[in-house]
Order: sequence, then C-alpha cells, then structure tokens
Amino acid sequence: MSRKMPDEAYEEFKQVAGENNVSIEPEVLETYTYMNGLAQGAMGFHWNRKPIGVVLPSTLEEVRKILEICTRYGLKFKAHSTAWVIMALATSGNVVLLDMRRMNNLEINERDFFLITESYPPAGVAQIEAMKKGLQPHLVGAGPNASNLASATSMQGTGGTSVRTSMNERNVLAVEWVLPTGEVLKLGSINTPGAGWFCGDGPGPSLRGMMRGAVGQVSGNGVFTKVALKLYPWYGPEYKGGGEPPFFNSEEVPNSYLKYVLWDSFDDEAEGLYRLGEAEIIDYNNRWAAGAFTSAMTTSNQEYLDAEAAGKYKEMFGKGFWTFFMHAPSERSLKHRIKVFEKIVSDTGGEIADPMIFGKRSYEIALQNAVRAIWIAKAAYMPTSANTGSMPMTYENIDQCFKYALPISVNAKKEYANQDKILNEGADNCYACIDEDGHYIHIEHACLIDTWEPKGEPGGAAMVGMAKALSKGMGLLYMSWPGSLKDFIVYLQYSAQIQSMIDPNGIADSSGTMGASYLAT
Amino acid sequence: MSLSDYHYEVSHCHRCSYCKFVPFQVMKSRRFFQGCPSIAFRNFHSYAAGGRVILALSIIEGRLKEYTETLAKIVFECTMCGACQVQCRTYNYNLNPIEVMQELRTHLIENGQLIPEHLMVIDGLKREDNVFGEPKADRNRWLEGLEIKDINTEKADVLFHPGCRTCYDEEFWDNARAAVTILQNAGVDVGTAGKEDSCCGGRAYEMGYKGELVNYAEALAGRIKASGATKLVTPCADCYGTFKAYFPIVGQELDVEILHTSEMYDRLIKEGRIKLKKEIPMKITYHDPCKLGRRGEPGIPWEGEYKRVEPHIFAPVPEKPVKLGLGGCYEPPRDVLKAIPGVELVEMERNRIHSWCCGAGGGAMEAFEDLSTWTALERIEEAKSTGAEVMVTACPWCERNFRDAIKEAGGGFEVFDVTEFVREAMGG
Ligand SMILES: Cc1cc2nc3c(=O)[nH]c(=O)nc-3n(C[C@H](O)[C@H](O)[C@H](O)COP(=O)(O)OP(=O)(O)OC[C@H]3O[C@@H](n4cnc5c(N)ncnc54)[C@H](O)[C@@H]3O)c2cc1C
Repeated sequence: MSRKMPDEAYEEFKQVAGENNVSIEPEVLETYTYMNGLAQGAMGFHWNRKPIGVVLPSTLEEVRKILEICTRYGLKFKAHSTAWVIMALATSGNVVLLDMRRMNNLEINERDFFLITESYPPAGVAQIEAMKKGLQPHLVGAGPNASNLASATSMQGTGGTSVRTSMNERNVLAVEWVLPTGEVLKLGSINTPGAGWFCGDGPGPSLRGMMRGAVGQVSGNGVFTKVALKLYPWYGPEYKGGGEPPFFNSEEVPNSYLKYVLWDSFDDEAEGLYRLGEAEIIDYNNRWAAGAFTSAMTTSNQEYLDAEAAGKYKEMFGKGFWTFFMHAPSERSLKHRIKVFEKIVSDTGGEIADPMIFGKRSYEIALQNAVRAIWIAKAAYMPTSANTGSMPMTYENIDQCFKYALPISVNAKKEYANQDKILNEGADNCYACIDEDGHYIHIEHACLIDTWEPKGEPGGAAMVGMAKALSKGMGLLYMSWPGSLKDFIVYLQYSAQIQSMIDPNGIADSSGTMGASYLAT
Repeated sequence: MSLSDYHYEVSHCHRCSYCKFVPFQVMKSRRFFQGCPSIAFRNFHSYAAGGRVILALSIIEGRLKEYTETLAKIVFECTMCGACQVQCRTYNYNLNPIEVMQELRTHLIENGQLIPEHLMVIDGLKREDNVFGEPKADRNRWLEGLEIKDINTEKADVLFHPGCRTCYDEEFWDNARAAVTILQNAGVDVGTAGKEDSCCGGRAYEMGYKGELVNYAEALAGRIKASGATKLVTPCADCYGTFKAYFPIVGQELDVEILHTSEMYDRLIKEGRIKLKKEIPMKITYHDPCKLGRRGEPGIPWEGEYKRVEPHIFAPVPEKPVKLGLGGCYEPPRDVLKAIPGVELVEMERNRIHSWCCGAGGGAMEAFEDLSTWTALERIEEAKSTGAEVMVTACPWCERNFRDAIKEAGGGFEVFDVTEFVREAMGG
C-alpha cells in the first residue's frame, strides 16, 4: 500500500533541498513510476510502485539530512542517477526517491589519471572532458547516457572497452558514501586528511566489496555522492562527430584499426578470443549477431523489415560477428598490433571484414560503438522497444560462455521465437564482450519482444534458458554471482546481513540486493 | 490525430534520457551538454520530453484522470524548441516526442485545463488578431512613411509578412522597414497585406489552440491566392516555422514559396543584387531560431496508424515522415553574414539542429518567464564562450527575449538581427 508523505516530513524536505526541489504532486510522481525496456518493463509492467515523493538534493549534506528525515518518519529511500534502468524506481510503498540530477560535478585529475564524479554526469560527458586531456574513463555498454557513478558503485559495470578499461567496479578509487543512517562513510584515501582521492583502500580493511557485492546493491546500501574512478590513456585527438543524425560522420581516429571478425564455430570463436585477449592488443570489442546489426542499421520498423527481407545481414552475420578496435600511441605500435591481430584471426580460422562492408552506416556504428558506446542499447531495444533479456547472462570464462552456455541459450530461444512468443530475429542474437584481456567474458542474449504483441510471452524464453542452464550446473552466472542456486542463496544471505548491519532501520528501498531484484524479475 | 492515437508511440519510450542531452556524437563539453531547457531548468524528469510522454501514456491509459494545474504547468513549461525530437530520433524510431507534446497541449485545452496567461493572449488574439491584444488598427504603424504596395489593391510578387512581434514592438520597426527597403532596392516587387494583415496563429497553436491556427491559415491562404504573389517573405522565424511546418499539418499548404528574409538576402547577394561593401570588423556568433531551424522543417501531414505488420513488429502505416530538423533553414543566414567583409563568424557548441533555444517559444515567454529568461541567459553564456563580441539572430522573438534577459542580468552583451548587419554592410 502506498502511503502519503507526512506533512511534517514534506516541510522538512523542503527546508533541506529548497521548495522547488521536492515534489509530492501526483503528476510529477507519475513520471517516476514508468519504465519500459528491460526486465518488468519488457514484460508489459510499465507501471511500477509510485514513490511518495521525489527530492532533488544538491550536496552531500542535503543527502545526509534527507536520509535522516526518512529515518525519523519511517520512510524508505532510493537514489538514482540517470534512471536508465528499472532498478532505479521504487519497489515498496513509502519510498522517497532521490533524483540525483543536481549532483552534477565532475573533475578530471589529469596528472594522476582519475576523475571525481558526482552521481549525475553521464559517462559520455565524463569521456568528452577526459578525452580533451588524453584520457578516457570506462563506458558501460548501456551507453554514454548512463552515469559512471551509478555503474561503478551500484550496478553492473561492463562494456566494450572493458578489455582495456576493465569493469567499472574495478575502477573505483575513493568513495563518498552516505549510509542509510545518515552517517558519511569515506572509503580509501579520502579518509586520510589531505591525501586526496587516488586510492580506494585503507586505512584498515577494504570495504569496497561490501559496498556493491558482486553486481551492485541498487541503492540498498545507501547513497553514493562522489566517487573517484581510474582513467586510461586516449591517444588523441578527442573524438569528433558531425553531419546528419542518426548516423553522423566521425572524424578519423589516427593510429586506429577497426575491423569485423567472423568465426565459423563457437570453438574457433572461443580460441580466437583467448588468444586476442592474451596478446593484450585490443582496445574495444563487441559481439553482435544479425538481429542487433539490423536494429542498428535501420531507421524505422519498415526499414527493419525490408532489411530482414533482403536477408543480406543475416547471410553475413547469422553466426555472429565481432567488432575489434585498436588504438595505438604510434604508427609503429599499431603496425605491430595489426600483425599480431591478423595472425591470430587467421590461425583460428576467422575472417576479417571491413566495417564499410555495408557502407558508411555500418562503419559509423562500429566506430561510435568503439569510442562512445552509442549503439549497443539501441540494438538491444529496436525495433520492438523491449528486451526480456538474457539467458543466461554470464560473466565467466570464454569456454563456459561460448561452448556451453550460448548453445543452450540459442536452443531455448529457438522454441520461443518459432512460436512468435518473442521476435524471431535469428536464434543467436548474443551480445558479448571480453573483459580484462579475456580473463572474463560478459554475454547477454537478447530476446526482443513488443509488449503489444498478442502472441508475446515475455520472460518465458529467459526462464527456460535459465532453467536449462541450471540443470547443467551453469545457472545463475551473472557477473560475479556464484553459479549454483544454492551458493547464490548463501550470497544473498550474506548481502542481507551486510545490509541489516548498515541499515538497522531498514529504510533502504531495495529488494534486498541486485540479486534479489534480478530473481524478482 | 488525437492524443490516444499516440498510444503506441508513448508506450515505446525507453526512458533513456536522450531527450535531455545533445546527441553524444556531437556533444562538446560538460558545460553545454544539455539539450532541453525545460528539464535543465526544473530538473524533475517530468519536465523532459520523456516525462511528458509518460504523462500522455498515463492519460491515455486512464491512470491520470484529473486535469490539474500541476499537469498543465508540466505540459506547458516548455519552449517547444524541438531539441528533444532530434535527440530522441537519433536513438528511438518509434516515438516523436514533439508531436506528443503538441497533442498533449491541445488535449488539455480541449479538456478545459487552461493556462491563464495564455488565455489572455488568446482573448486578445480573437479580439484584435494579434498575440498582444493591441488594437488591430495599430498593426501597420511600423510601415508609416514607407512606400509599399498593398496587395489588396495592387499585385506584388512578394507578400511581406511582418508578424505580430514586429508590428507591435517598436524596437523592431526600424528593422522591418530596413528589410523592405533592402528588398525594394534589390528590385524585388514587395507588398503587404495592409489592413488585412494578421497573426499567423503559430503561437496560439503551441498554446494548444489548434482552431486559431486553422482560421489564420485559411485566411492567409485566401489572401495569397487573391494577391497572385509567388513568394511569402517574413523576417520572423516564428511565423516562418508556422507557415512551413504547422500549416501543412492542419491541411493548409500555401501555394507560394515561403522564405525568411535571410534566405531572400542570401539569394539576392548571390545574384549580385545586394552588394555588401562596407567592412564590419567583428567576431560574431549566430543563434539558430528554433522555428527557422529544426522546427522550420516543412511539415508533412500524416494520417495513419501503427499496425502489426509482422509478429512483434508494429509499424506506422503508411510510413511516417521522419522529423530530424534537417529541412530547416541553417546556411542562408550564415552565408549572408559570411559575405560581409570583416565579419568573422564563429559557431557556438550547440548549433543548427542541435541549437539551444532562446526561451521565447511555446508560450513560455508569456507564462513562464523564469524559464524563458534562464534559457536565454544560458545561450548568452554559450555565445560569450566563443569569444564573439555580439550574437546575431534572425527572429524578433529571440531578440526580444535575449535583450530582456541581458538587461535583467545587468547588460554586457548585445544581440542583433541579420537585417541590421546587412543594412550596415550595404552602407547604412
Ligand atoms: C538497454 C540497457 C543496456 C544496458 N547495458 C549494460 C551494459 O552493457 N553494461 C552494464 O554494465 N550495464 C548495462 N546496463 C545497466 C547499467 O548498468 C545501468 O543502466 C547504468 O550503468 C547505470 O547508470 P544510470 O545512470 O542509468 O543508473 P540508474 O538507473 O540511475 O541507477 C542504477 C541503479 O543504481 C542505483 N543508484 C544510482 N545512483 C545511485 C547513487 N548515487 N547512490 C546509490 N544508488 C544509486 C539505483 O537505485 C539503481 O538501482 C544496461 C541498461 C540498459 C537499460
């Protein structure tokens, strides 16, 4: 049951954040109740729990006071950054949402290779500023519109550059964190006066693991107000685009190499990936199949259908393909990398294709993915606008994913696609990237669905895929979650214990952890 | 089309926030990364196109049953600049936020949820045929002393449409007279509609009063037909966008070529009929008025519905025209300015289809002054950041709003019209 915000609490919120930055108006709250696209949204449940209020804090102190008010009045809270994902919305009846939009500061520390970001700045904005200084942050596959802080502290963290820039949870240095009790916890070097933001640990035991668990606690552990994140070299010049949307024209990136690679079998694919990873030459990688490619290449649903009917993308990319991007500090270094790249691809039976193969559009898509993570999410949503996701999503080793999990997933999906329960865009519509030079791989298997489709059966394929994977002992492989259901439940129990320790009044609105909310979907 | 006809579109918003930002391919800095003035000013998601789309869905699905003042404030506290449309369409091709927002406005008005300040405008408009409610008889004071044909009594090749802002804001009379004189000196056969001249109806439409637009469109189409003019020329971007984009949408294509004065100058300069001899040694920047630029893109009427064309694929049948603003007028004013000796034209970060609004449109200037002023000052900051000495634009509404905002902020920057530069460069 949704409650109403107590009048006194409302007054106090207004005193803290300013009258214009608090709303309990039903029309405003309505706009914080809807989400389409993934998880429940993709299942047709566009409308979620309505918060009882939304507050827009602008400082650490305001956040602290807001959580204190929540505690005093027995209200729950949830913070979000850009709210690109359904976990950003309220899940219980008396939630005050902290929309962190006004916490928008960003600082680049050029000398020490890190940035300090508040909650809101979209990752793409951070990247634009960093590139001016020859640096780049990690961008997740969600795209440049998602917040780096949210990704690093609270949810997931992988993307096509993870091969070079790691996963966002590993990029976290010092953190400013408001616990649900309103206490401020500073992780890492900022806890030592004058030491700055350069380090995530110390003094004492590291708490970064507790902060996000395996995947992020989706605001269940408090509110993060500032985080320092590692930056990586960008050999310049800054990326520049112009021309006409939606494909635009990018200026050429000097000393870079952009190619597609196609392998014939999952075995060869896995071998190629291991070796490319080991060689430490790749700066961006992304696997797509024909479905995602068609979504990215087209500008209307009719055009999508026409492209499907023409069949040339399916013919070329039916078994999936990879985009690889290398960006070197010098021409000589690039030449060396290209040699290594070509040798590995050839040794593993791969075929190299030029991204211009389907014209300027396909080149732009590949390049903009590589340098700004622009097209992944579009391909995950169009033409249906929803994706019931992925079965199983994994964050494990390449063998497990390609030789075992993906075939299970592809077969499970076939049954559903053939009956039109999901879009039949080819059974393999797997998105993947290798992380940290191939030590890990992240895969997601798209199941597109239009919620208006009468035959649609959202979630079914994902569930069947998951069940089949579980029966083969691979189950819940998602990020660093334990694979078996039994171990996963232990993980959830640990998470819940940590949460009850740092949130003794139980005011964080989180369906336990990211894990629990995942299971709930 | 009615609001419920947008059900498919509004239930296919991804909540990605692209409507808030300049597209990431062309974004240049954190300082100027925002694309939508309304959300940038208010911060609640409600004030982004995405938020309004959710409200539309909520109304269509019967969740929001009451039309309240808050709802009206959210819907109308927006300049209708159309940046969201360009930004959304770079990503999602099943949604047209600007259409949804226009339809929401019309829907609220039809359901009696009015904005009092807008109602005053509409009352004045109905009474006096102008958006200020000023006496109709004063409409032509701007052309006193000017020799110009009256199309009611003489034929003219070009019908000059000044627009309400020009007619009733004395600060722009000089410009309008200069525009006519420049054209006449270049040998253009110009006339005005004399006592028949009236509002274009565009601002009323954006305030949700579609009927007013239809009336004014019909009247103007009739006048043009009777006059035999081949061109309709206006110095007002607001009117230009109305003629080009809105008239066709309400079924009133004008049977003439529609040109902004800057387009006419550009043509005449290139034909050698206007000579810009005098040097103006100045670094300037140009502001794209929304209704000349992305919202001046020719409107293409569409009647149809989203149909299930294949399992899981719903497509608009017939295909819906894509609105990305590419058909707007961007280069002619720039070419005119660049043709002036001594002028150095520098671009702001957000330009052409990605331009930041001046804040005057969509009824914001009339009812939401804070948003309007803030939006203008943001643009002035952007203009200053280029190192330009002044900003030049091509719409009296933009100029009015900029000048007022600058004055309110204590001065320190100037805004001019393209016509002022042309006149000066022609030797004054
Ligand atoms: C289409 C799509 C594709 C995606 N692909 C990827 C991908 O490839 N890789 C990947 O890593 N992720 C992916 N994601 C998920 C992604 O991690 C998040 O969407 C994104 O990183 C988070 O940024 P955001 O600004 O949207 O966060 P939000 O949606 O605002 O928040 C995400 C979660 O973090 C919490 N949170 C946010 N800010 C704070 C804060 N200041 N304090 C406490 N809690 C907070 C929220 O409560 C929420 O639970 C995808 C999401 C979508 C919708």
